[in-house]
Amino acid sequence: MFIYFCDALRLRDTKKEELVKTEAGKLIVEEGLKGFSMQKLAKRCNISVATLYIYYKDQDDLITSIGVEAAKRFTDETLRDFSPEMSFSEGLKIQWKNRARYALNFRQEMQLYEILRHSPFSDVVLGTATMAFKDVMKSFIKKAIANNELVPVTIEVYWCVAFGPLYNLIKFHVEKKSIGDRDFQLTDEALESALQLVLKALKP
Amino acid sequence: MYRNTVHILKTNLSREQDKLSISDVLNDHPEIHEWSVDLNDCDKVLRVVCNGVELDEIIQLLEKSGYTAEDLKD
Repeated sequence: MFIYFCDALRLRDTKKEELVKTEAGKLIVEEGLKGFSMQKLAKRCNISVATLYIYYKDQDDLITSIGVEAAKRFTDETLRDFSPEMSFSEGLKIQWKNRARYALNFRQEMQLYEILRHSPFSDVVLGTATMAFKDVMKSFIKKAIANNELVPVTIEVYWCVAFGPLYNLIKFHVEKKSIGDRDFQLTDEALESALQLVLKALKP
Repeated sequence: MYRNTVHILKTNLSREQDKLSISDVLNDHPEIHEWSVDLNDCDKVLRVVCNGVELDEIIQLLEKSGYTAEDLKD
């Protein structure tokens, strides 16, 4: 008989729960949402399937839960030390630093977040977790345009110019190779010189 | 006095329609606080949070509705 008292549920094994979350993320990144199952996850964690159901109502509940957590980490990390009241160049510099740090420190979770953002879970994952983030970014851009610090372009063009170079440098770094199979390692100098070119391009 | 328990069962519920068929009997039970079925899972796991309801009683409730259920072994 499989009985868990709810007192035990509240005091449930947080170490085990963290293991479940980490392994669930890894499994989705490795095999995609189609390759995910509670059986595979239980096996990876060396626990029973029934135990997983003590923690989560069902597969969707589990995936939603780790997705919301990943979205929250992305927004928290990206907004660290940032304020929409900053000048455009100062704000963008912090954005670059934060996004680079997040991409390098939470690489696997970032991949998971990307998968879930483009899945049927996108609404629930992106919903409340990123609402405040969007507002902050909107207000930052609006203020920069009003202060004549940023050329008025569409949000898509803005994003591609503002962050495209950053994410390409990160990609080179992660792959340890750049174009033409050249060895590459991201440095503060490389980030800074790319950022200066981006700022130059976005200034009116 | 009973405390809340969680029962995890393997079932043969396979479609949303099957979930609907058992919803009245589970919703109407005064000691069942919460229940859900994972239709994505191969064991079609039924999870029941209840107060003092034995596993066998839940199995019988499902059997009366024409389904099978058994304890999902540890």
